[in-house]
Amino acid sequence: MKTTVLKIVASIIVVLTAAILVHFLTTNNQALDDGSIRIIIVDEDGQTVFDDDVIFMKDDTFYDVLQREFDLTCASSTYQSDPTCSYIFQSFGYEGRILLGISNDDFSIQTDWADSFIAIEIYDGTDYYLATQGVSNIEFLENDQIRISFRAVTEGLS
Amino acid sequence: MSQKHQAIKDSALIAIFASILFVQQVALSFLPNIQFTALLIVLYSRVLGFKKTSLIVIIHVFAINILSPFGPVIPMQIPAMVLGWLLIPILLHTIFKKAESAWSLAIIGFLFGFIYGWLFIPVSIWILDVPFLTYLYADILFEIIMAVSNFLTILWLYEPLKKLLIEQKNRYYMIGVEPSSELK
Repeated sequence: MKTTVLKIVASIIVVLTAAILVHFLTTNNQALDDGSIRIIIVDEDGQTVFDDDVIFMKDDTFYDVLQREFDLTCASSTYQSDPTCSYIFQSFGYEGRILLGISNDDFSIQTDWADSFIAIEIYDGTDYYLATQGVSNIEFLENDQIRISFRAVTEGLS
Repeated sequence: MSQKHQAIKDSALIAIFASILFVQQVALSFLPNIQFTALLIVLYSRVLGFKKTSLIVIIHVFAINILSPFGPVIPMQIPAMVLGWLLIPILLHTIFKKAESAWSLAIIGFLFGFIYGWLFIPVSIWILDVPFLTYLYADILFEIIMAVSNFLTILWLYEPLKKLLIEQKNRYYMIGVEPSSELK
């Protein structure tokens, strides 16, 4: 009986600690105020096809910022292209959309997840480093510089 | 029981336990890192011994990469996967040889959740060029989930399953193989 109680207590402590950590690590990063960020988009050939400031509004996620400015294609639940971006991955440990394509009147970048993907990198003042969260949860602040580029899987990430 | 019969029984046993490992992992694939794999390998290590468990692990890794409907890991990661799962029987037959209680095994399972994730770092940073900190930060969430999953499953299920498995194993090896009536 004592052992069972001890097991229940230990299980609750472990699950609660993990839930707090998971919540802390998966915070939905939304803009605290209105502002602008610089977006750079690089296509399949390594050419910069977009380099401009884009505005964001209070409570925007990075996905909202992109959606307002560009035509986006996201992954469906089976990782097929979905131009409506209606599917949101939701599971314990991860949540959000997966960006497969981005375009406007001047350019179009499309990836297929299997052989290519869209890399999102944040400039830290000296170099770009890969974002550690997906397009729905990337943290951004006023005047941040974010690069979105086409990558073939065989190229590696950096 | 002759050596030949023993070998046949061992082979059947290894195949059955490898199948259980495979099926539960595929069935729970929709939940990231929540599975009974660590629990079962701990259990196999304690009940079946090092050799049989190692064979089960190797069969499991190849089966999961060949047959899983969710596809294989990239080939360069397969050695890390084999080593990762083999680490359980290796550790339980060396430095944690005396760890028998569900509590000690649950704590080992918890730590293993992180160690398993870290084993994929070398290939990711040296071959796939993923930046170290980016990988570490992105993976930590899944390591926590695996650690908790291992801890809870081992803590609650190890002892009843061990009892059950030992009983079944003894019955299985006690049943003799009689020649069929036609051959008599």
